[in-house]
Amino acid sequence: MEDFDDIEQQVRNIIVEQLQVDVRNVTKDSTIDGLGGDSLKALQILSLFETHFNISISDEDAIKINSFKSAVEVVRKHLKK
Amino acid sequence: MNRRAVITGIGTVTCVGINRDSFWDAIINGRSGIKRISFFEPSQHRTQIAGEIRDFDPLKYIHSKEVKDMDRISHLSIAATEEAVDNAGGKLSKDTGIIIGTGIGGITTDDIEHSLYNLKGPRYVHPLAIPMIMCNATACHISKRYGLMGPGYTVVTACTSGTNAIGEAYRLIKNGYTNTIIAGGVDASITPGIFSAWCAMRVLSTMNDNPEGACKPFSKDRGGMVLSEGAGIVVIEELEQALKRSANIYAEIIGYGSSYDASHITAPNGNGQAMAMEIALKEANLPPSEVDYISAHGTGTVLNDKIETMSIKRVFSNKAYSIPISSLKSMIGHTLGASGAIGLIASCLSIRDNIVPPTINYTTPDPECDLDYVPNKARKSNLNVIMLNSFGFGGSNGVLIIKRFTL
Repeated sequence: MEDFDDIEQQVRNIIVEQLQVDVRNVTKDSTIDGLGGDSLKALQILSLFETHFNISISDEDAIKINSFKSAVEVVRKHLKK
Repeated sequence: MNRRAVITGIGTVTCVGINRDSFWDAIINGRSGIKRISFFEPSQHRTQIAGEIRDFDPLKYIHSKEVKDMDRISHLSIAATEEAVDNAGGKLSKDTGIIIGTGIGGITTDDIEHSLYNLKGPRYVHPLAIPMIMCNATACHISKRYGLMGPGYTVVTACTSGTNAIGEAYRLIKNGYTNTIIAGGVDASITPGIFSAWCAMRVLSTMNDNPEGACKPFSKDRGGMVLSEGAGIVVIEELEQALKRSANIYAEIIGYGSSYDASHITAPNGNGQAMAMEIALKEANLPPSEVDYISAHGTGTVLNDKIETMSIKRVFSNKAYSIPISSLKSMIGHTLGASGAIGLIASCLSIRDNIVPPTINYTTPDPECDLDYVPNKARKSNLNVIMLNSFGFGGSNGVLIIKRFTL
């Protein structure tokens, strides 16, 4: 079993809710495509990150979000700001 | 049946001019109408610019008693219709049809009424909100105004709406259902709610410090589209009728193609676009080599301009490199459901004056967009045949072909 810290858990929950997948399927190596998502789902996940974490994600970082890891990275980066 | 359809009247309201002449003057001189948003405080939005029509007074066209019972889409399209009908110079017969396209209908009213409901409660919602919001409201007002009882419907195909409306009108006339149709497109959706949605989609340019330079179709450094509002209306007539009354003929509509992409709700697809162009050419009975100018959809998003370039190359092969292609959106932004109709109006004037409008704000060549986009300056050119492209969310494609009129 992988360990997820608090931020990772929240990111995971948002992905689960948007893609309607079993939480156990979202691992640290998951990609949005691999979980059955696409660019439109990525856009919605991104939008939820902004409201949930109260952050503003730049376009440059927005296009990087295509996996669990990249999502967590982008969220952490903007939480630090 | 060998009936031909010609355009005898044009009218338009845009952010670069509230009538045909001021619009055309801005277009051939490459002037942008994009500015910082004034309709609401934009500072909390990622994008803070748009193509607003600021000097427009609906009371010049509509009685004060009626103005408040109509959405802005009706105000704009009535003004454009007045101009087009006046330009056509004839009395409209009772069997004149009305086919207007709109991407989202009376959304200004929708936004306001929802706010009132949320802030104050249901009793405060306008009792005429429904007939103001509905997409066919505009056609109803035009029908009442001129006493028109001909065939009509409202076309809702996102940014292809105006083009499809004109294409359908052309076919109704060609096939003998009626002799005159008022056709075109309108959208007015620079409202806080809808604007937030566009921002959330991340397709709008964020070049807030340089509004006039923000829309850069086909340029490598393009950063998205600019939301805009407008109306474009044309009077289409059966040729014999137009000749009988010695009407001024701007151009003949000779081909129309419509297709769906069958792929994605927002991303464009080259197959569907090429198919629409090919259907239009086939109906026009013209080889691609006869097209003198393409009025592009050219929104200024990375994806649109790249895919549209690909589709044009697929249809026109090597000839693609020698056809001038330009995007009005570089100057007037994206008027959504009105864009095809406004584009067609510009194309009528292009044929009249033998001028190709420029794509302004073009600064950096893009290897993926390597055609002749008429950068920054209008160009004199003998024009006989023009193709107009419109592509919308939902994967809807519409293409019109017009030709200089000869007997």
